[in-house]
Amino acid sequence: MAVSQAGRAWRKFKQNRLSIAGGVLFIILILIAIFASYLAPHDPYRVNLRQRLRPYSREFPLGTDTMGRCVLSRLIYGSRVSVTVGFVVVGISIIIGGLIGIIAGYFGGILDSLLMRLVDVVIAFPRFFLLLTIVALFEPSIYNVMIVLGVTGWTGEARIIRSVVLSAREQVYIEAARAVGASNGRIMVRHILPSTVVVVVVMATLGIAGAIITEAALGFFGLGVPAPTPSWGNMLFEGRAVFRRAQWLVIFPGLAIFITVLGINFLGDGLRDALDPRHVLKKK
Amino acid sequence: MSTANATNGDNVLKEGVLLQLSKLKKFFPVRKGILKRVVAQVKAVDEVDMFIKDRETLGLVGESGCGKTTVGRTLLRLIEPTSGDIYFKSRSLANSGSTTKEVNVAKLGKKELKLLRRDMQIIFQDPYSSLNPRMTVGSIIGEPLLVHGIAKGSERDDRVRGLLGSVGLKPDHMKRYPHEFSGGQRQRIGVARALALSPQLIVADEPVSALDVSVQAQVLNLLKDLQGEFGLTYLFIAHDMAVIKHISDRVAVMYLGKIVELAETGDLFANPRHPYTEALMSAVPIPNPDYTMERILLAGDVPSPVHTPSGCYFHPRCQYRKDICETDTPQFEDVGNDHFSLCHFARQLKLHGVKTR
Repeated sequence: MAVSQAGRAWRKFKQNRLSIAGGVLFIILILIAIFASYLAPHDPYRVNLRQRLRPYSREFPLGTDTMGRCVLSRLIYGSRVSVTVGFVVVGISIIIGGLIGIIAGYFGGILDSLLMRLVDVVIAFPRFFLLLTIVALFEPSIYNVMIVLGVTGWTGEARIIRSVVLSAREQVYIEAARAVGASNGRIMVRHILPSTVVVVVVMATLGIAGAIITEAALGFFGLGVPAPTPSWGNMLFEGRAVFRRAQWLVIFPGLAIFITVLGINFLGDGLRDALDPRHVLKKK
Repeated sequence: MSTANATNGDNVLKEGVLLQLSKLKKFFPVRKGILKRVVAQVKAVDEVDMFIKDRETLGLVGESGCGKTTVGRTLLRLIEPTSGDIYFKSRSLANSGSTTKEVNVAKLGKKELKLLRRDMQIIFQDPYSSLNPRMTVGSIIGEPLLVHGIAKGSERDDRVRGLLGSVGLKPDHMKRYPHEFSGGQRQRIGVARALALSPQLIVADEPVSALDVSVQAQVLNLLKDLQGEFGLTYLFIAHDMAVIKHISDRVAVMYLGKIVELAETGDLFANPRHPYTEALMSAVPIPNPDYTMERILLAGDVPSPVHTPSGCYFHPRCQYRKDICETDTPQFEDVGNDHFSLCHFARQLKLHGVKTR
């Protein structure tokens, strides 16, 4: 992208304090996930039945759970699941959705109609129940969750990328590339793909938040990442049973999900306002 | 290679002719309803016959919507023709031992078409939208070389620098992006891209009409200079008679998807043989305050290319029309000196051209 365009986008992004905060939060989350083993004060798997359901203390800043494990450490390790699920799911969605969107938009005609009907079919599937079924049929694991979320979650991406491609392929420079002898593949990769980057970045950001929420919801039903691996979803699930005695078991994972998703959504909104040319004229 | 040679050895093209269109048609279907039934056809190009001589500039004029751009795109096969033939003496498709080979562009396969791209290029009207804003000038001009595997790496960069030089830009411009240039400079970039494959024919689709008048002359003269330097043939599409007169050796006048007149520039301007050309000429401003123009104002609008008039397409607006014009389709005939006209009365009518000063 041209330098001045990137510069203008950055200036616009900086004006929005909420999205800056969201971006900082997102970076902190990623750093926590990467350096979890250094940051966690305790081993998140070490069971200590004599220290069960301890409230906040100096040794356990966020208390301990039903098996005496450090909640703070488990939250820190749990961010790994959220970040991994977020990125992998969005990665799968964008690869599938991008491929289908570009092919449908570029070639048009019958191929376009067929692919878009396929999108309609996938959207018509009740996604959450499909998830429940598949996770119940196969053993619950982080991989199954990611694959199912990714394979069912690409429809929005496909539609939006198709619409971007539809307008991009009418550009005269596409015809110029054809006149020069460039193949369809080259035109798609070199000339059309770059114009989808902006929407993909925005969608990916918002998609990560969505994937984190869905993973947490699955975990809450006990169908997400299996114990003893900590994830924010299954921590909520485990804490639910003893909610009256130990509120911290529910409050902190809940807060972690809430803040993370809110932060990423602010970041996504800010990016969209800054990058999307249709928002350029909007008065700030 | 069998499909390329539809003529079975007999060449259609005469000596000195580079390209010939024969009954070229491009109809766009008008679809309606859920079933997308074809309810009508837009006759954008309707049986066009025309030829371009080697190393000449053929100007193609006509008002908006008459199909001149479609002719240009169709002969490059950027738009697939509905029917008709496009004969061309191709250098890149020549067999070993001969310098050129006559091919029918309309019937070329995918591989041959890609080779043909080396011989035929296009310059676009809008210098803003025809350059990818996300690519550097170097990769825009170098793309043809890359796609055809002609030059790589530093060799390619050298070629691009050379091309930039021949269109009057600086070598260090290659690392910049299109938005850093003015309209005229951008059009030069478009010209350099068209030159990259050293083509025989360049279709220049209104290359100066989007430019500032002060810059138009520069780009026109550049095109003329390049023609001499590289031995180019131009199909120059425009709607500005002054530009056409300046650059063309011969001129084709188009009206409603048909070529109505084709002649040498001087001959056409002095002795038009078609009433439509006469009307066009009367609109050319003459820079002489004492000259009183008799402007011919055509009645009505251009008929819809979907529902074309019977007989001669021009008859509803023609001031010389007779009964035959409504019923019979005129033939595109040579009225002498390679001056072609599509009018029943091309020989009889005394039409006024532009008087030379």
